[in-house]
Amino acid sequence: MPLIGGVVTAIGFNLQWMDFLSYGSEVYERFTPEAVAYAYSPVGDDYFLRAGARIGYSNLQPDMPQSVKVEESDIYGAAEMGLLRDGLLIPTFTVGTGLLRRKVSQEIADPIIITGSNPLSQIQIFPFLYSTVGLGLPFFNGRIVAEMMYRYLWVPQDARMGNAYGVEVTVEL
Amino acid sequence: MKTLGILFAVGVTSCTQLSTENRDKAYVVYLPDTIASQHTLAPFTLGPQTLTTLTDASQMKGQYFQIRQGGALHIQDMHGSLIASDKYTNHKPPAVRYTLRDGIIVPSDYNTLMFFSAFYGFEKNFTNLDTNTGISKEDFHNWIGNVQIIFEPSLLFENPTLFINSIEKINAAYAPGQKQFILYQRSSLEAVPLASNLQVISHEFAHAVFEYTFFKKHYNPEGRYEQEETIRGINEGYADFASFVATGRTAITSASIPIFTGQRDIKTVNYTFQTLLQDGNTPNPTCAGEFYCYGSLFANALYQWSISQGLNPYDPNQRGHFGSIVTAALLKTQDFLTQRLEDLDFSNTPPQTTYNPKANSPMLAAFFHAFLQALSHAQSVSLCPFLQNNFGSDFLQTDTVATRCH
Repeated sequence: MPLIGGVVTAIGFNLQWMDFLSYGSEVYERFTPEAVAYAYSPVGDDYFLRAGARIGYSNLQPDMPQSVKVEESDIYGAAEMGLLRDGLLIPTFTVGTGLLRRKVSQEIADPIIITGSNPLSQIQIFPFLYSTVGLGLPFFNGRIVAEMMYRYLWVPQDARMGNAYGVEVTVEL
Repeated sequence: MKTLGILFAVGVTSCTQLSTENRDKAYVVYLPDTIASQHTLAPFTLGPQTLTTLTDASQMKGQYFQIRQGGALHIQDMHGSLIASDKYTNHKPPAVRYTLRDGIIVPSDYNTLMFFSAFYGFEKNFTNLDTNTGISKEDFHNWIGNVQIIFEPSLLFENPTLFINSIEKINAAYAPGQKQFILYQRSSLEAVPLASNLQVISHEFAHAVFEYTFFKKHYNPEGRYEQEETIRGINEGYADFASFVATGRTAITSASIPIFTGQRDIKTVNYTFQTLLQDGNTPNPTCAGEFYCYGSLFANALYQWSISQGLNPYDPNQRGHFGSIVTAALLKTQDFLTQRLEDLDFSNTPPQTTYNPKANSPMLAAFFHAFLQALSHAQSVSLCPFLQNNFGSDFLQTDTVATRCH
């Protein structure tokens, strides 16, 4: 991590899979890629604060019957603050919060008919909190960092969400 | 921290509102009542319906039913859509998500749409119980208690070899004894979701009625009749006929699983018991469902008989009349069957627990003797030809024909 005083910024992406309670006890993995931006500032020997912003998107749907589908498309933005220790491996701990915008739409097909116009369609906006632990691997003197991460999301209005896993790659600007 | 508090307050008030208040109207997938005057069958519909017995929408609790999600069902045995289970553990309340629009519950996701749809379907069966079976709702509720409808539990098998069967056969099920209904996971193989299909729900609900009537309110997995392949088939046949009584439709699964079209249509059964006998233990090309085939023949006989008696299949009250006749007969059938087995010196023979038409036929014939005995003489005489037609003219025992068919 080539940080000697001042603030260094980085951008990247996160290939993330989010656990979604599917129906009963089944969970399906929802691919939820993110774009991420960081600003690092040193706070002591090898320790850095990492302010971050991220946006994510998901449109993957679970298996549903042919005649009734209720599809959910999510886009969200989040702000976070993390602490990390520089080294050959970079452990990180981050907490954050954000807002999720979900578009719910229905798809109805024969032999089901519908009364009214798109009654289930709606836009929902949820706040959420999360904490993340990660382990980064620096390349090219830390200009590129690949980080494996585990995140727990707390979404008061959607108990189906919880765990997320991913690999994040960022490049110093 | 103050900023976070404001953020959350804005979020909660501007979107989904989870409420514990009673709400009685929700968007569901439902099957409207048939239209007798036009002789047409209304299609499955997504629209608002009143849930009259729902008391807590946020927990999916009602006066008679409660939805559960996940958990583990411990399986001792299973046959068709009947599961012998001794316990259900680690269950949890369902993750219900909805908004209110003009006072109507609008499900926010597929799961919640199915929770409300299934609840509505079971409620419909319960509220029509008097009409469709002649059984008092109060008596039935006193027996069955508050019923759990379990969405996709994990199945833990005491006998690991049952696992193979479960993958193929389970879609919806009833656990007698425990008195629980099970709705298995959704699939893109379904058209109308099984969890919202009143035909399927009515079939499963009828298994509870069969437990109440034929099994005399007590299902013992080790019992003689519970183990008889014949009675399993009769149970399925009664459930198919009861589904017709509840909905006016005869093809029980075709709306949900189109690839099954024809195999479970009680209006048209293109084989007889004699065909099954000729095929022996090998699955019949036109009916591979083993004991279900006995049931389809029984259900078809009941259907053809009720039509011959002037039933307008589009009239729910007329269907209920015939449903009540059959259900009332089942209430008395076990006693007559036990007596019949004693008369035939057949009561101490071990149960025939596997599919074998030849070996199953004595119990089947004895059942029909008892069932016809439980009907009035006029009803028995009018039903008899349809049983003879489906099972063979010589199938019924001689004294059965002499006393119950003429």
